[in-house]
Parts: sequence; structure tokens; C-alpha cells
Amino acid sequence: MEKNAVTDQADIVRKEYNPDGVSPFPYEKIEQLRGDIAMYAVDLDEDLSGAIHYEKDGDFFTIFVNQKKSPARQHFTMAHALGHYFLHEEILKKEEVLIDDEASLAGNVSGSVPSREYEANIFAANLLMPKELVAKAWNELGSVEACARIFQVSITAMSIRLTDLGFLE
Amino acid sequence: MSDVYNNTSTQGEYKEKIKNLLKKDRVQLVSYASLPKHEVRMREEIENRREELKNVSLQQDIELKKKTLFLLFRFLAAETCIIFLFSFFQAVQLFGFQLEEWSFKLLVSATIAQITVMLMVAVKHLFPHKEDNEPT
Repeated sequence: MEKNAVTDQADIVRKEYNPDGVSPFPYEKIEQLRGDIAMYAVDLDEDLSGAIHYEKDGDFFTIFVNQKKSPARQHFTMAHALGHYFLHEEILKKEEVLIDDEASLAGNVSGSVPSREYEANIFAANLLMPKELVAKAWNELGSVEACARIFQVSITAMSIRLTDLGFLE
Repeated sequence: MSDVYNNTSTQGEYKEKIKNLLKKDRVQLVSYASLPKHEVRMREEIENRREELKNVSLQQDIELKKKTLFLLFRFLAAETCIIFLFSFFQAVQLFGFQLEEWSFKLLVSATIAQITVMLMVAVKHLFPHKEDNEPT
């Protein structure tokens, strides 16, 4: 899938479910409005950040987020899992479970992780850190830490996004 | 790529654990939406942070001005005291203290001029007029 197509899909989801630009993303709206997905905070192994599961009976999706992780990590994991939900429905229906660990969430370069993980990361970054707001925050505040606090993501995720948008080298 | 991805048996193990979670009654699971969170509107938050930064910067500026003025006034007070002592000694000629008249006048005049210039510079730079701040 083209990067632009992923970005466009994230923008559509963001405008539909988060038109007011709230941080963290109001995931519960997706849960309420779509009706085929549920989201839970659970205790998982240290290696895991989260997972998304598809149940054939009932055609239902479930996202699990490791509640042992920091809130910033949980937000990104949730957005990443939603990336799978919106972009990789067919894969998900075939594999039933997609596991997200530290490495899959860090893959921001094509080829560093399976393409679906890369796409889910691009989706998550666009969902949580919209381009125009990142540009505004960076121009006004000029600090990665301050921007990360506004978008409620980790400093690493914020740095990657700023680099991706050309604000950082 | 992570070990989890390279190790299919680990992947399988984790997948089983995830499936087992769903064997529980869903009521027992904690809904992600129920977790406490600090919700903000990003656009407003950017504005708020910008204002905060501006205020912090102004506060720092005021603190710096206060420190500079305090040091300057201490220095000028010390200098005035010394000149006063010189004048006193000159007047009473204590311990044979006697400066030549032109030297004494020069010393007093130079000191008054120095204090005046220092005060003018301090006022101009520490409390600039609005017009001085406006971009040309």
C-alpha cells in the first residue's frame, strides 16, 4: 500500500472520529459508532505492547493493550492496532491475531519491519499527530518534549514524526 | 526485526495467550475507554503552552533586570560613599589628606559624570520605550 494512501485513510478516520482534535484520540467513539470492535487494557508479557484479534463468530474485532506500558505507549499501540483494523482487514481475518511488540511499533522505515507494521505505524503517526498541528506546535514551541506532551506520545514517537515531516534531521 | 517476529513459535505462543484472554467473560476485562486520561484539545493546548512560554520568558527577563539593577545600585552607592569620604577628608584635612584642587574637582566631576551616564544607560536598556522595541 502506498504511503499516501495510508495517510489519506488516517486523515479520513481522524476527521470522522476526532473532528475537534482531542488528545488522546477518542478511541471509544470508534467502539461506539462502529459496533464491531472492542478495546481492552490487559496485562501482557513485557515483550508485547498489544494485539488485535478477529473472531469469525460474530465478525468481531478486539484490541488488547498492555496496561503495564506507559500511557504514551498505550496510545500509540492503540492507534497502531486501529491501523491494522482499518488497513489490513483481510490479513487480520486470515491470521486471526496480529501481535504488536516494541520493534513492530518502532519500525518507521519501509523494510525494517513487515510492510503491514510499517503501514500501521504511518497510520498511527498520522492519527495521533496530524501534520498541520505538528507544524503549528513545532513552530510555536520548538521543543520535542513540549510537542510530545501535547500529542501525548513518547518523545521517540514525536522525534520520528518530526523527522518524517522534515522538521528535524 | 524483533525476535518475536523471527521466532514463529514465540508468535504462536503469544497468539494463544491472546485467544485465551477471550475465553474469559468480557465483563471481567477492563475496557480501555474506562481508563483515566487527561483529555485536551490540541489546538488550544498549543496556544496555552505558547502563552506559558511567553510568560516564563517575561518572568526571566524581569528577574534578570532586577539582579542587574541591584548590582548597579550597589556599585553606585559604594562609589558615592567613597567620593563622600574623599570630600570629607579634603574638607577636614584629616591625616594630612590634601588633594590638589584641580585633581579633586576632576575626581568629583568625573564620578558624577560616570554615575549619570551609567544611570542613563541602565534606564535606556533595562526600561526601553515601546517605540524602541517596535520592529523597524
